[in-house]
Amino acid sequence: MENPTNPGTDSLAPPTAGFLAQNPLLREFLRDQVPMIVVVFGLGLLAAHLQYGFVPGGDVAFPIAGVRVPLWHLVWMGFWTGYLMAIVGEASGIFSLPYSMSVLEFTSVSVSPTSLITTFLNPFGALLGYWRGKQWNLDLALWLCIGAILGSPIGPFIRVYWLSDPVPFKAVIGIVLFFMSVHLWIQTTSWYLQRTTRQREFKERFDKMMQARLADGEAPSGLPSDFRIVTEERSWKRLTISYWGERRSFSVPAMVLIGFIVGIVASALGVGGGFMLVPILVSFYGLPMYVLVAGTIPFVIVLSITGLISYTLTLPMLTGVSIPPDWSFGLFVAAGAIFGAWLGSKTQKFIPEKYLKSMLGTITGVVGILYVANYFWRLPFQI
Amino acid sequence: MDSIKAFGRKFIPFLPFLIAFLAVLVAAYHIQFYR
Repeated sequence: MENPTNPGTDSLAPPTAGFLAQNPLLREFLRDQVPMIVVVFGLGLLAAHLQYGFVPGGDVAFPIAGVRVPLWHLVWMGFWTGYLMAIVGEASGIFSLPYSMSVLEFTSVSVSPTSLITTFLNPFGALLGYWRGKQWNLDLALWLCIGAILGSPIGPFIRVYWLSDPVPFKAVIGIVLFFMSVHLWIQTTSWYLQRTTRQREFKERFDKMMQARLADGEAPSGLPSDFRIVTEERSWKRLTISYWGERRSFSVPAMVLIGFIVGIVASALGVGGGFMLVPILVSFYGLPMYVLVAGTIPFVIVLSITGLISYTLTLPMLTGVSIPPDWSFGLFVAAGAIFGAWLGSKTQKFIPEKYLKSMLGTITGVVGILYVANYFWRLPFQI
Repeated sequence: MDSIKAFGRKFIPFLPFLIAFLAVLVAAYHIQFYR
């Protein structure tokens, strides 16, 4: 039956079907993200009931975290950390961890495994999109993930035996934040932009294609139908991949070693490791963001789950020290982070990166210096 | 609908700065009333 007001369409079809067809981003959000966010938030409520028998929040403190904080604030924290970090291309843990410690005052060792719950779930929204867009290569991810599996179980032991006190732990986080600040500032310099000319050319070619997609009414964040990350050569020593006319070669032992070292550091802190892995893959291998996510997203997921298992199972079995995560706290943050990371990945191309990176570089640099300074001299204010 | 989309496109570049500003406000609110 034809619709008399809109010839050519079916009058029996629901009106929202046409609306959603014209808005692919909204359709993707409703189809992929909303169910995931609702499920993760629901798991948070379930975890609270199972772990404590009640739902903590603004009135009753989270027993393990030891802090009173409304649920909306946790979701908001996940959202903004996930959003800002997705725009600058790194995981959200390195922002949410200092915020949890300094603003929410969650300073016990449990903050690290709790943060790993967020870093584990955060990339799943993006992963679905990357898998659909063929931004996927298991060979590229495999060796990094093997390194993470070997390294991340070690991190929790370092956290418990050498970094259990909040002050030295914050000092280490401060060094990481300072490192990240320098990395963000470098990305705004003309030296860096000239050095990465090849990547810029690739991005420009990519952006032209995006504009064409927008003009055709398609989602701007999609990839061309012929986009593939293809394995050209695979052995125990060498891995070669190609994508859209580009070719990159990797030493397999070096990939495992990178995954191993990043795995130790990231699981000791309770972050996903993107803050170290992304600069390494960009600087040493010249991978564009569209390709390196094929390695970093599975890496962060594997690192987070092996680190979490080490905190909750391996560590108590071998040492008798139990460091339980606050499951509901982490899940509520993750619910917001999934949405934030998705929104960040979709709006990234429209953001003036130079100003944003300068701003975030300044904030992370100042907080990093204060954390380190607080280790040597007691600051007159609480941080 | 098109005007909303056009406004959205103009607004998006300011979104991260707005979010960062709101994050500071919420942090201040938390420190004031929940600690």
